[in-house]
Amino acid sequence: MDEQVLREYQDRLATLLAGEDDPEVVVSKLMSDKRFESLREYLAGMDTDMVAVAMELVRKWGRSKDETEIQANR
Amino acid sequence: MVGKIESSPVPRASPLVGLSLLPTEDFRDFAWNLVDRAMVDVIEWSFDIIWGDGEMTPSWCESILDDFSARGRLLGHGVTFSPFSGGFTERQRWWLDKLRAECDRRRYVQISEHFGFMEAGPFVESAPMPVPMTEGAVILGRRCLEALARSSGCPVGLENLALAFCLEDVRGQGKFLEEVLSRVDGFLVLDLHNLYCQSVNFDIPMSELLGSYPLGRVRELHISGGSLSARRSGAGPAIRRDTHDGPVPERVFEILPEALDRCPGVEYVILERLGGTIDELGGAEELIRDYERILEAVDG
Repeated sequence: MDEQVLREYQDRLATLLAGEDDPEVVVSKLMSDKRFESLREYLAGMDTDMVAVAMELVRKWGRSKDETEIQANR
Repeated sequence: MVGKIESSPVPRASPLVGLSLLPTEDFRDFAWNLVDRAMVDVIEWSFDIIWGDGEMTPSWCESILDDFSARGRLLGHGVTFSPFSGGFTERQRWWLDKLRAECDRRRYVQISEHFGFMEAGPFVESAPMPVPMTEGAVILGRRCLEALARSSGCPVGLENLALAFCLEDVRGQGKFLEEVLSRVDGFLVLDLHNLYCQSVNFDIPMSELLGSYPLGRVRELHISGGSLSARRSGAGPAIRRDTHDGPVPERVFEILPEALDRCPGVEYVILERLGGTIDELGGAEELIRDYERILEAVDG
């Protein structure tokens, strides 16, 4: 897997973690994305309870570019 | 006749014990209490937690940092660089410039960061997430670690991650870290509570998990507490979380002597606690007791 695919996977994962309510949907959307074919085995092993933890973490600690710029300008 | 020289093993110097310092009010009394009693050998500072927040550090905190910097006892531990984010972003360049300035301002013994990525999708900062081990990810990690070394002029290292999506993340993290760290002769910050989280959540004995890491690279141990949360599915035991807001679990204290034995290069043992959580329910006394137990284990 090259760096471009890794970046796309990370972007997609972070977006799904932030936007979806069901961790099973997060995993199934990643699994069905052809760009991540090389990660199929890895994705199939995902524990959805741990994905749910990740969803909680990004919602608690995640800051967008806009938010950090607002903070920096205070 | 040449007399036989009785050689005795050179005793290993005990690791230095210290605190991860946070600039919150609850840390002021706690940190000063230990510093005043000369119980703190070394301070770890996550210099980037104040970047973008007005960069104000309380004077009591500055005083401790300057003192330990002058004594050559200050460790740097970044939180937001996101070394395994694919691509190399403007924010990461900015972060490295800030690191260079920070290392010009204060003398750090070493700089470490966290394994994983946080800058992705809508987020520039978040919690570190696991990365599947691929050739591209290893190359990326090496490149970022080399950049850290160039900007800081210090030895650099990575800390193992608590969060794992799957067994592959758990079983493979030690090998992944070795692949990345070996390129720059980097060190490993082995967080025993992170290891404990994976041990509980994936039902693997802690000793076995410990053996999957490149223990010869461990220069620093992290000790902390955390919390439990129910599984969303309702199936299986509660999930151990690395929330840094509770007492150090007994199992972490139990594994500490073994970790010290199996990691001959450990130089620092650091107690971590989340800022703003010390005063709750007698937290200060509890934390001081945890700190004293670490000192006993290290001296023992």
